[in-house]
Amino acid sequence: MNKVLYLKELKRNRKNSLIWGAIVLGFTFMILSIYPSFAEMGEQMAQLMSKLPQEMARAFGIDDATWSSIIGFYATYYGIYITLLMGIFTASTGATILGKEERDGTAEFLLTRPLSRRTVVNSKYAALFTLLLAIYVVKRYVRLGESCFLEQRLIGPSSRRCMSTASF
Amino acid sequence: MPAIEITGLTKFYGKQRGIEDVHLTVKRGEVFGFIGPNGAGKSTAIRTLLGLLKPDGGSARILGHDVAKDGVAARARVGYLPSEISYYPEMTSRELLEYHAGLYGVKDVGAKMEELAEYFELDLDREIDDLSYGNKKKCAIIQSVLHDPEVLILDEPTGGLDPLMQHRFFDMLERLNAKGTTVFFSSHVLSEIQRMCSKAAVIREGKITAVEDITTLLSKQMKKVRMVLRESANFTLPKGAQNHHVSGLKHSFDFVGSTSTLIAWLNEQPLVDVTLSEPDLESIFMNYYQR
Repeated sequence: MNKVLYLKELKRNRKNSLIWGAIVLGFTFMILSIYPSFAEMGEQMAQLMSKLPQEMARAFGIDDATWSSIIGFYATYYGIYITLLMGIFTASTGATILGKEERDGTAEFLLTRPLSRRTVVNSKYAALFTLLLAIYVVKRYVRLGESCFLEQRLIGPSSRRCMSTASF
Repeated sequence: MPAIEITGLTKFYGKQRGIEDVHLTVKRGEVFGFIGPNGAGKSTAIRTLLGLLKPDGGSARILGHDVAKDGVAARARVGYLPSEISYYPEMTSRELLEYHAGLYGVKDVGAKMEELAEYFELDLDREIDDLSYGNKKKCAIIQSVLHDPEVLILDEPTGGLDPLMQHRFFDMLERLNAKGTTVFFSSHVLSEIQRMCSKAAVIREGKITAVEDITTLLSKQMKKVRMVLRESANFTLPKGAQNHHVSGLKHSFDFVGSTSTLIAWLNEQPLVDVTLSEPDLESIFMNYYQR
């Protein structure tokens, strides 16, 4: 891996990552803000859902916890979308981080420097992984903070429940 | 150890010929010309030297490093000036040059960069996207020498440069060569090669047709002579003249041979005007081809 190339790639993908980070965070706030209304009709939903064939419910990842706790709600509704969003970011950035060099003809600049092709690919993907990790870490702590806040508002201060969320 | 050593290098693009069985040796400290018409294989040879293309046969070494097996070590000692420049459009020249130096592990290039930018009159803080072709070329020139390479590989370096900048560029090359830098200079303009190089290889249709000292190349070089006479004269053309055309008092012919013989002969004619010009490359190649 080449440090100069790695740092340059972090810098060149900074803007793109900030935008995706903002989308992921916005989505986190949005999804978790609608949890309270789900929680209010938790009993009814659970009854309704219990009529579904068990196999089908399992296939859609629905179980009792989906309605009764924020963890279950997160696992069903939020987790799947956030995985998708992070997946789109990774796929699009991963494809352009090399493809753009080829398309703009700048690959020639890079490959005529004293770098092996392996070094170029490794440095670029190390930069992508770093950005992905950064978005993930920020998102994780924002989500933990917000679900903790929501739980306490809904069922009153309960450090035990909040701890269980944090350990999730 | 030679600066560049090419042995039997062959590269095909599918069935299309790139270069075929090219042999060349460039000694250290030489300014070596590489001349041929467009599409003759100059860029293919250079791109193979830089490891951008994988040779189909033969090998090439730069300062002893095999370019296919040990390309990183070879490129670390080379400065490359591409014929077509595509740099990151969103960077300024300064950012690009600092990035470039960083990739070679060279630090503190600021002063040298400023000095070269002033010499070539390039504004370092403008984005590359906003630069004209000539200014991009200046950025590429600075890039090629910034990390003090031992071997300079220049692919059609003067395209887009105005005459003043060409002059400064050649001056810089001479200074670098005096300090021991080897220069491999590809061009389709014969006069550039004449001016800069001590030795040159002629490439045509992917094959080297001649490797000669510049003086030999020059003596074999054909000149186009156009003259206007005061009165019609009866003369026999000098030895080495061919393709004689007459239109009234205007004569033109091609001449191959000693320049002093030609001048002496011209001196005996009742001249009003005379022009000696460099023929286009194709006729030089035809000249080589016929021999």
